[in-house]
Amino acid sequence: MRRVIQDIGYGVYVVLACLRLLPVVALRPEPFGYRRFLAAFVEVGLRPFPTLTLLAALIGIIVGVGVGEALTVLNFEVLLVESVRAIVLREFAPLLVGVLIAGRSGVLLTARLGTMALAEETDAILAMGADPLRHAVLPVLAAAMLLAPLITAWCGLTTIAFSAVAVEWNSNMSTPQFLEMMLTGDAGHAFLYGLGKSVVFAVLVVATATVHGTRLVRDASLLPRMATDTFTHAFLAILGVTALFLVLDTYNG
Amino acid sequence: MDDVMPISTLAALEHIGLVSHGRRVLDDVELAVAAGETVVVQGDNGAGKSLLLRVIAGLARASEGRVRLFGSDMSGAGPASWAAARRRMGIAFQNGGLLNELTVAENIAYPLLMAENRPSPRAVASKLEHALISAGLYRVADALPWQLSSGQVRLTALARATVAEPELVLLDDLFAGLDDDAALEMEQRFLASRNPTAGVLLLTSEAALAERCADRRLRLELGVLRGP
Repeated sequence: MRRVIQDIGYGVYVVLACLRLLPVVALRPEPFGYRRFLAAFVEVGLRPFPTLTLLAALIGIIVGVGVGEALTVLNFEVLLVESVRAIVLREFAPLLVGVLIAGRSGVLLTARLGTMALAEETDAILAMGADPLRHAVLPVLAAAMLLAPLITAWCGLTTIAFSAVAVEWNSNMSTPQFLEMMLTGDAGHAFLYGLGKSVVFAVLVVATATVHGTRLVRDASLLPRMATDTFTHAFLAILGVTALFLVLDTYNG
Repeated sequence: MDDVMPISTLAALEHIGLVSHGRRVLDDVELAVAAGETVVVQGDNGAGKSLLLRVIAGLARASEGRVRLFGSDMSGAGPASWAAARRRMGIAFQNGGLLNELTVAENIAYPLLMAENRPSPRAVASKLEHALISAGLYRVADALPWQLSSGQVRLTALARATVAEPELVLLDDLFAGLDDDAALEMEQRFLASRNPTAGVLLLTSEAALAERCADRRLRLELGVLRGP
């Protein structure tokens, strides 16, 4: 229990330290920092893009087929489409992006921090009066915070587009009809809510990855375990925060 | 040891003890490095040499005693004070500690770009070129660390540690495991590149090297520092 509290405390410290460093870095960039930011940008946003698009499309089809079948039996079009909208934009899209960032960028950051410690890179950075957080973590955090909402938006829209096509195949509702119902009402609010959540998830993943990555000092055999722990703990944190959001939403009506 | 550190003393360890995993790895170590002198601490593998360097650089915390750097007591110093002190040092680690995503030239330029008063791009380029030539690394300036031989990795680490002309240079067993030619080349490069006013602490397992390079020699045996 003490370890968990220490880890959470360190995770909070990492996030606050990085956020405090953002304006400092903007004024005085780290040597070759732009390259690390670009690498993080590619890793967080570009590399997972095809997988994410495919996943969002497949889930859109699955949702669309389910909705289509329900529509042939029930006559609750508005209720059904509103439920799908809330689930896709508010919950599913940020969750999928959070899990994907945890599985790729989070695990990669843990592995990178671990190998940096083992290869004395972390010591060398400190020895040159630099800050390993600023050097290795900040570019990933900045890229993740910037890209998470963008890819969440893409993911949500892709899911809705494919579910619209699947609904048309499977029911009497046309694609334009489905899209119109889907993208009216509180769609804008749900969309922004999902984007905000994705930023929180991105921060959680980077903090979790940093806590695990910096735990490795000399023991290389811990690296695979730490990488796995990063994914499972980040996933757990994302689900925990999702539950917290739901509780707060219910409480606030 | 007196409370007041002589003005030429760059680093001093006072009664340093360190217990790690229930084992005493440094025991009542007293050591001072003055400007312009080369102190060589010779010791076998596992004697505690790397740990000694880490304590001086603030990368490991001693259980007892205190570290003084550039006239300041570092007990209780925060990360910013340590970072400022480390910018006045050049440190080369045993395995190089080169930044993996940077080329040889970028690794060497890094301390120049991290300096409090960053030199002009022209000055950086000039110092970098000089460092690359004197370390014999010009040909591999654009290579990444994994493309280098073990000797070249250490030469890069040495060049990076000395390029900003630090007041204090700490070298951790850079010569270990090299063949005779590479070790000799490294030694010559080290002697040629050293700033005569800088203090140097060279930690090594090689007795002959200690003999040739040292102004003052000490032996570290199982965490205890003795005379030559």
